[in-house]
Amino acid sequence: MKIKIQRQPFDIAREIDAVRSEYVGAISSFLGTVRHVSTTEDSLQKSLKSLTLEHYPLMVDKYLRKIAIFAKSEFKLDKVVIIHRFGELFVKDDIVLIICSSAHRKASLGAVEYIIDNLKTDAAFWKLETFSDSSTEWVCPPPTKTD
Amino acid sequence: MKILYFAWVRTKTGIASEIITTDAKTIGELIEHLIQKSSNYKDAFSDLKGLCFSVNQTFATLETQIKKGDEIAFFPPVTGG
Repeated sequence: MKIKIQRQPFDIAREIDAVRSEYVGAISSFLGTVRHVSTTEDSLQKSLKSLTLEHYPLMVDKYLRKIAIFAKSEFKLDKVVIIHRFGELFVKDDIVLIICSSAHRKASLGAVEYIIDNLKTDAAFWKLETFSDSSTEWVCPPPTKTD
Repeated sequence: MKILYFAWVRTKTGIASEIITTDAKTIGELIEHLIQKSSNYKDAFSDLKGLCFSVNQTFATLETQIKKGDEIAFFPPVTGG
């Protein structure tokens, strides 16, 4: 199990390679990237300069370990990788990578969905958008659970 | 006990963390104590429906009991991923 909360970018190919195994027939992944999130009429008129991710380190670490341990057991995974960045990011930058490996595809696909759905509702991160006119806006969670 | 503030809650209170002494026994009572400190705190806690709380890194409610030595955090709904 690999859980990393870091500023620096990650190497997707290297992370996928690290979970290959003779017992694994399926490797599923999710990659979250930076996009213009806010949907207020005002913000939609402006260009996004950057997205700053703030987090509560102890709470995030505790929670990601909890859901990774649960997913590994529940979906009978071989490996789980969760890497989430913080700090200032720019449009199209990578934010979060989730990789799950298993013998068969149903388990790894289901596990990736479980992890990202729960991360988005309960992992203590917050996003601050900075626009080209230097104004800022904290992102609010979407009204629905899927995004 | 240690109090942490994140995101716009931190912006409104003006501080990221503080150590306080209080007789408050629940999150709700703690908030009542904090809003007495200044108008900044009153503003930060003006809409409790838009706030989340945690005690020792576990989500909490207004009724969650707190004690000396706990780490309590106040923050908006999360937006990770």
